[in-house]
Amino acid sequence: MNIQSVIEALGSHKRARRSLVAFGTLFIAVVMAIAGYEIYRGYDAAIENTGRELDTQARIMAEQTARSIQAIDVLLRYLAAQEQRGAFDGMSEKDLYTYLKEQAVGLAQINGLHLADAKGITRGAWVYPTPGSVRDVSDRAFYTVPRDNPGINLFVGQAIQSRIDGEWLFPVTRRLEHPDGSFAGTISARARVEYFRKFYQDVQLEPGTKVTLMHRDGTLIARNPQIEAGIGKRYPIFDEMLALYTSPGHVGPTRVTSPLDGIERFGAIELVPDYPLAVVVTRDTRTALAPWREQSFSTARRTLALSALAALMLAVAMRQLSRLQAARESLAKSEERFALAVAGSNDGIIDWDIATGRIYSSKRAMEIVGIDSDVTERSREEWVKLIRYQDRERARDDLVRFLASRDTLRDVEYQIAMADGSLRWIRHRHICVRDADGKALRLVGSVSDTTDYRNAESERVRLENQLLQAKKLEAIGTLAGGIAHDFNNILSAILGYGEMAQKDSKEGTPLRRHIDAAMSAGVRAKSLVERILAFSRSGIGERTPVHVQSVVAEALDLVAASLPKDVRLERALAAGDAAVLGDPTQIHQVVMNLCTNAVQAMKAGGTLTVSLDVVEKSGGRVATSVLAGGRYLRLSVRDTGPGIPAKILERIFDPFFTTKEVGVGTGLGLSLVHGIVTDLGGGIDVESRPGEGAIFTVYLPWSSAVAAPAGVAEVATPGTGETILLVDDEEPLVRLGEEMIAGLGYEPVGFTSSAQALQSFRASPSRFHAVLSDEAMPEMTGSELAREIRLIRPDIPIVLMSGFVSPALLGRARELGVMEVLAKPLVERDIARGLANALRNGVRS
Amino acid sequence: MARAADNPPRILVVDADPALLGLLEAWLSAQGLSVLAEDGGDEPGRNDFDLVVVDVPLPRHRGLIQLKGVAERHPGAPILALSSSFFAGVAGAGLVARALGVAGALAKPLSREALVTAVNRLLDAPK
Repeated sequence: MNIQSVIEALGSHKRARRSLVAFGTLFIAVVMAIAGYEIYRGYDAAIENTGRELDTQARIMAEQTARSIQAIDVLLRYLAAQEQRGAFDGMSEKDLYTYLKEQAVGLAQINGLHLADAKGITRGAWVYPTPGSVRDVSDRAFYTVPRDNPGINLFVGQAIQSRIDGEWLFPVTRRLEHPDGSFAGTISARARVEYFRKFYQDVQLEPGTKVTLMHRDGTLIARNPQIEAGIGKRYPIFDEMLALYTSPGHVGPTRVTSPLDGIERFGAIELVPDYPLAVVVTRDTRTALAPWREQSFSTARRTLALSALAALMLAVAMRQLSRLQAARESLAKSEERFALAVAGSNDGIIDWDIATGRIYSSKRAMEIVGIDSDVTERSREEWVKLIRYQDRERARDDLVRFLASRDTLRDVEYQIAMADGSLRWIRHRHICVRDADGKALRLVGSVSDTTDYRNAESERVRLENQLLQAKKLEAIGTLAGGIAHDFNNILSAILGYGEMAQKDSKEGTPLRRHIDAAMSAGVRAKSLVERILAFSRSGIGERTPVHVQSVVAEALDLVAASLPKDVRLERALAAGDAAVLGDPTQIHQVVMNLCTNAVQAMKAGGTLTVSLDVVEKSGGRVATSVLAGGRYLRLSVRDTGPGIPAKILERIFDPFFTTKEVGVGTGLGLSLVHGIVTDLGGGIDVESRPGEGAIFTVYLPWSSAVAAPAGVAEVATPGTGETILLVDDEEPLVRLGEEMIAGLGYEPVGFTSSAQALQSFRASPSRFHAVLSDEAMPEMTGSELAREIRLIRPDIPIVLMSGFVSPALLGRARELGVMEVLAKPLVERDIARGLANALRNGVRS
Repeated sequence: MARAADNPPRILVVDADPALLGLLEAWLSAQGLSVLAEDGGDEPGRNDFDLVVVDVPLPRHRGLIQLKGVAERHPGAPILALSSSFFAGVAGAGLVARALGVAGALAKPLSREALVTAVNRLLDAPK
């Protein structure tokens, strides 16, 4: 999972959370809305039911009330008919009482009957419980209303409290008429309010239900439960109810507030048929709605419980989700951290499932090994193929060994061949997942490119070795320098006394021969010590600006003179007048040593190429040292020999290290070169490949302090007519030499034969100021000639010339007091310098 | 060619080991020169030497101090420095001699000729 998808997953997670909350809330809202609707509907239904119930009850009550009134009406009709027939005429009041009382038996709703004449005077009455004494009723409504309204058959009056017994009654009266229709009085019944109340009570309506009998004029007649104070009073609310009842489209119960007790009730009104009465049934809203309320409460409770449950579940879900999210976030963080860490390490990842042989590798891993990074799964064979074939078997063996072991960690490095042919070092670090038996199941780990590290490491080791080498050389140098110094002291005595002994002994005697041999060995020792002194860098020499090109040219002449037949010398000297500060002899030695080695390396022949030029170097490391940036003279000596093996290359500058047979070399050659070059502030580079020869490149710091090379520009003191004896066996060279010497202001006397020259010198020894002779001559060598001349004139300066200036010759020459040995071919300035020096420093008389 | 026996030039040899001293005495006496040895002592020597020959074991290190001391003890006398540390190419009044502040320098081991030549040159040089 990469970082992007982790972030996306987190985003989707937030959305999931939000939708969960929304869904949960919606669910709760819907449950609540349903409950609300149910309650609302329940309320309507409850009211409707109540209305229906109250209507029914009111209708029943009205019906029953009508029956009761009807019963009274029937009795009154009968009595009225009896009166019309005159049945009561002549009956005493007492008889009437009894008669009337008998007639009323079974009618519990009345407790009195009253017969009045046309004038409103009581004719007879039965009044429960005692006979009444009311005589004149002409002021009573139950008399006046029927009297005055012939249309009214039955009059029902308002409730009144009996003056006789205090009972609440209401009159029901019929108008009595004569046959001609004239008013003949009234027959009235006292209807008992209590009877109706009781009746309503006996119906046993539901609690909270009240039944009221009222007159259509708005006055209250009876009520159950009883409220005595209200009886007979007029309540305008009844008018309203009546108006509502009669209005079209009347539905449902009327909600009223009782004027009696102030309690809100539902009410239904029903007119009592045929009579001016109405029945009102009311029920307390509280009671009426109680079931609904209960229902509602239960619904609400249920809903709340449900909602609470839902909320709880939501909370739990959210919590779970949060946990999940936290876990995911932490996983994502961890993955991100891991991904970044891996990216930061720049390593690739490899996961090898050993059972299937499939290898998963990350993009980076494939980049490192240089294969197509689009295919993330490869077989083991594909990976093995990447390994450099030389390493393959080793890698395989190593892997097999590891898998068979119980090790968990593996760290291997091998080289792989890249597509471009280059080799890279690859490091694998694995952890092996094993089952309980130790069988390897998976190998998971990283791949990194350690090429740079390896290179740096080998570079470090190389530098360390170089430093070690430098220290070793220094130590050896110090030691050797000390030895050389002491040895020179000893040699001083050996050679000095040896020389005296040599002089004192007669020539040709065995003693002289022995001393000569000892002296010769001493001189060789001296030359060796001189070289040790040079490589040890502890000697002190002359530091003069050296015209390098001429020194190199001279040396090459010597080399050319002694080249084996099958070795060719090529030179390319292009340093011009560039000079270094140093000792020409030492620079000479550098060239000689390098060339000698090169020639000896080419046993089967080849080409020796020596080039010299001036280069600007930006500084940096060469094989022997680190050079500062600047201008250098670059001397390259190249051979076409077999090359130098790497192992030997490492030790090539070690003192006394030699590949030559014992006795052939001292092993000082290259260390001498090293010592000299280092002392001069330069460095040596060596490049060699087996079969391709070797190139030694010497860098010598260009001496910018002296613009014109002194060794060259130094103008030799011209001659002042001194006579010079010139000897060379080659005629043209004598001629050339004479010309040169004459040109330098001397007087040349040339000879092509050394014997003749000696003869001429013997003839007049004082004629000559100096001798210049070739060394290699048939009759008598230059040194032999010099020895003879010395015997005649020990003080005369002698200069020798030779095509091959060997150390032996130099030693011999020095022995003979020869001022200088000039290397041929001669150039004018060599002769000029040589002669000038000889005449200035020559042995004097 | 030997010098005249009367009033021969006087040469002082300083700090030479016995073998070298013997050698120098032999060679220089043969030239008719008078040779005396001084063993690096601090006492002020005689001031009438014509040449002082000094063996300088370590010219790189203590050489200058050693030569300065000799020069102070023998003002006016030219000094010829001998050293095993000089390369054979060092000869006469070259750069090395100049660097050491002496009239001449010679590498050891030295030949009789080289010594005689150098000594003669210094004795004949204008003082």
